[in-house]
Amino acid sequence: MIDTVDVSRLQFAFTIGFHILWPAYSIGIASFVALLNALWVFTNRPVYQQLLLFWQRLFALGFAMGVVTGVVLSYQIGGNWSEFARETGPVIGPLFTYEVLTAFFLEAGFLGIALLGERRVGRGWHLFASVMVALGTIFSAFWVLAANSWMQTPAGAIRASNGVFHVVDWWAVVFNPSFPFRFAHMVCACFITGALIVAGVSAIQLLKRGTPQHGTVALSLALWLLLILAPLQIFLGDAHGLNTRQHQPVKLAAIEGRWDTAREVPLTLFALPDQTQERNRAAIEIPHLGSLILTHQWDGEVRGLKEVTADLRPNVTLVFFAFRIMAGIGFAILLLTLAGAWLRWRGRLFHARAYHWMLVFAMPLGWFALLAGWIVTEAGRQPFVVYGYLRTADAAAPVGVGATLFSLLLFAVVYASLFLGFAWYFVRMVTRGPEDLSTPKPLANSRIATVPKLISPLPASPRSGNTA
Amino acid sequence: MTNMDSVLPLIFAALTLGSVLAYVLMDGWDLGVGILFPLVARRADTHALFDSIAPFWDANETWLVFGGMMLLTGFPLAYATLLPHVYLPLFIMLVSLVLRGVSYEFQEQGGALQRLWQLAFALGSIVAALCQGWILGVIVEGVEPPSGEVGTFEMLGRRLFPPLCALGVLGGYALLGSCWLILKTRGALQVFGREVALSALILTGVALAAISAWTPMISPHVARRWFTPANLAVLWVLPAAACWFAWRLKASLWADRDGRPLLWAVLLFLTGFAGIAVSTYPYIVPYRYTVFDAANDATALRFAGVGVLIVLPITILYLSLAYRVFHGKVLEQGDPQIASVPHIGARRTSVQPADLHMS
Repeated sequence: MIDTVDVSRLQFAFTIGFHILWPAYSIGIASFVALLNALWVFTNRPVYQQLLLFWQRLFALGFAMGVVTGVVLSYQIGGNWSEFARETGPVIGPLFTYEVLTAFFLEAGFLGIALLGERRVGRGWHLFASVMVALGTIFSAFWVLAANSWMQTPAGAIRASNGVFHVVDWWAVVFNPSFPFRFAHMVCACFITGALIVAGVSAIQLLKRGTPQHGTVALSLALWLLLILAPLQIFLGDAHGLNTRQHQPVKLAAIEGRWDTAREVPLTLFALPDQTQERNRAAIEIPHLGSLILTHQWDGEVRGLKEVTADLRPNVTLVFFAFRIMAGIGFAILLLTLAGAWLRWRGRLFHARAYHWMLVFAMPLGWFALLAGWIVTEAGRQPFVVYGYLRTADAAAPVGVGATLFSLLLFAVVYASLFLGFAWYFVRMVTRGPEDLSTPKPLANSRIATVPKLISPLPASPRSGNTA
Repeated sequence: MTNMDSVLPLIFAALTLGSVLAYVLMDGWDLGVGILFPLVARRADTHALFDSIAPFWDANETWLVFGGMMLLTGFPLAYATLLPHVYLPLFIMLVSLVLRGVSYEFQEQGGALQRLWQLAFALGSIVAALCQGWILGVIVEGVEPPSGEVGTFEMLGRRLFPPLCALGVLGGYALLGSCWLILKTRGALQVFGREVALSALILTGVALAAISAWTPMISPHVARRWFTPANLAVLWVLPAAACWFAWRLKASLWADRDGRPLLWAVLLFLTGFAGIAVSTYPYIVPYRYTVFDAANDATALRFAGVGVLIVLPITILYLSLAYRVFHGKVLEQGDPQIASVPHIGARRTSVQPADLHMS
C-alpha cells in the first residue's frame, strides 16, 4: 500500500532532481562565461567577445529554469516534511536564509549588470560583474550543501526531548565532517557538466559549419578544462568515499554491496544485491582491490551491512547501482577527454567528425552522473533524514496521500513541458550559433528589434518620458 | 535571555510580514497584468503589456522565497504547522508560478509557440492569485489541531470563506495590474487599464467588505479585538481609510496624473493588510501559536539576523534604483525615441534583456 511518506519522497526526489540540473548548468556555465569575459578583456580577441555573448544567452535560459524550480523547494520542506522543518528549523533555517541572501545580493546586483553588456558599464566593471555572478552561484551551493551535509553528518547541535535541534556551535554546523568533501565534489561535478555542454555545443558548430573560429576556440577550451577536471573529480570522489567510510559506514557498505565486515575485501564490479537473503548474486569481483581503494591499504577492514539491523539499512540495490552508474560515467568522461587530448596531439581534433558526434551525445553525461551521485548520497542516508537521529518516516507532514499524489502529478506534467520548452529554445539558439549574434538583424519577433524596453540606463539616450 | 533576544521574534515577524507585503504588492501588479492578458485583444497591446513588467517580475517573485525563508528561520513551528494545512492551494500556486515564470522566458524568445506560452503565463497568473487568496482564507479561519489529514480542498459548500478570499485577491491583483498599466502605458492599452480598473475595484471592494464583516464571526479572538470599546475607538480608522482610498482611486482613474491610481490601490491594499494583521496579532498561526510561542532559538535568529541586516538594505537600495532606472512609459512602435537611438535596437538582438534575475 502506497503511503504519504513514499509519495512525498518520490515528489521530493523528482522536484529536487529536476531542479539540480539547472544550478549545475548555471554554476558551470557562469564560470565559463566569467572565463570568456576575462579572456576577452585581457587578450582583446573578438572571438572571445562573440563566444561571451553567445554563452551569456545560453546561461540566462538555464538560470531562469533554476530560479523558478527553486521557489518550489523552499516551500516543499514545510509542506511535505513539516516535522523535519519543526525539528531542524534552528539549524537549517539560517543556512537557507544565507543561501537566499547570497542569491539576492550577488545575483540580483550583478546579473543585471552582467547581462546589460559592457557598453553600459565599461569592460572592467562588466568583467567584475561576470565574476561576481559566477561566485554567487558557487556561494549559493556552499550554503545549500552545508545544510545537506549537516543532514548527513550532523554536528554542532544538541537535540532536546521534543526532538528540536539547538545549535551550540555554528562553525561546527557549517563545516560539518562531510561538508568540505561534498562541496568540492559537487562544484567539480558542476564544472564538468558545464564543460561537457560547452564541448558538445562547440562540436555542433564544427559539424554544421566546417571549422569556424568560435567553434575551435570553445572546443579547445572545454577540453583543456576537462583534462584537468575529470582526473581531479576522481581524486575528490575517492577522498569523499574515505570520508563516508569514516562517518557513514552503512552507506559505504551499500555502495560496495558488502554484507559482512572483513579485511582484504574484493572490489565488486557487478552483482545483484539481495536485501532479504543478505547476500549478492552473480558477483564479479577483483580480489583485494576493495580494501585498497577504500582504505588505501592491501588488507584494510571494510565494515558490512550486517553490522546494523535490517531496518537501519538503505535500499542496497538502488545505492549499489547508482554508484556504479556515476563512477562508470566518470571514467567514460575521462576516456573521452583523453581521446580528445590524443587527437589534439595528432593535430586532428578539429576535423575528427566521429569524435565530434561523440561529444554531442556526451552532452548530458555530466547531468546523468550528477543525478546518480545524488541518489547514492541521499538514498544511502536512508532510513534517516538526519543521519542517526531523525527517521524519514517520522519527518513527514500530516498531509493525505491523495493530495500528495495530485501535486506530484502536477509537477510531472508541468516539469515535463518545461523541459521540452527548454530543449526547444536551447536547440534553436545552438543551431543558429554565435554568428547569428554578430550580424544584428531583426528577429521574426519584430518587437525585440524595434521596441527596446531598456531605454533609460544609457546615460546618453533620451529618457522615455511621461506623456501625460 | 538578554533584552535583545526578546525583541528578536518581533523583528523577524516584521521581516516576514514585510516580505509578504512586498511580495503581494509588487508581484501583485505583474500577476495582475497576467490576469488581464486574456482581455487584451490587440496584438500590439499584448507586446506593450509584457514589456511593462519585463524588468521587474522575477525580482518581485523573489520576495516570496525570502518570505518563506524568514518564516522558516524565524518561526519553524509556524512554518511546519501552516504549510501542511494549506498544502493543495500552496502547491497548485507553486506549480502555477513555475509555469508562469518559465512561460515568460519562453514567450520572450518569440517563435511559433509564443502565443501558447503567453496564454500559459496568463493561466499561471490567474490560478496563482486564486490560490494565494485561498491560502489567506484558510489561515485567517484558523488552524485547528491536526486530526488526521490536512491540506486538502474541502467541499465548496462547507467552506465559503477561502473561496471568497480567493475572489478578493484575484480582483485586488487585477486592480493593481490595471493601475500599473495606467502608469506604464499609453494609448489604447492605457484606456483599457482605466476601464477595467473600475470593474476590478468593484470586485475588490465587495470582497473586502464581505471579508471584513465575516472575520469577526469566525473567531472570538477577532471579535474581541475589534469590538472592545477601547480598541474600536482607534480601529474604526482602518475601514474608514479603506473607503476613502477606494473613493479616491475611482476618482483618479480618468484624471491626469497616471501614477495616482496605483498609489491609491497600494494604500487600499495596505489597509486590508493592516486589518488582517490587527485581527490575528499576536498569533502567527491564528488562534494557536503566538509569535513568541513559535519563535526560533535566539542563537539562530542572531546568526541569520546578521546576514539580513547587511544584505537587505543593499538589496532594497538596488531594487529602488532599478525601479527608478526603468521608470516611465513603455515605448511603442513609431515612437520618436526609438528612431533616435538605433543602436539599442541592435543591442536588443544581441544580448538578453537586463532583467533583475534573482533566485
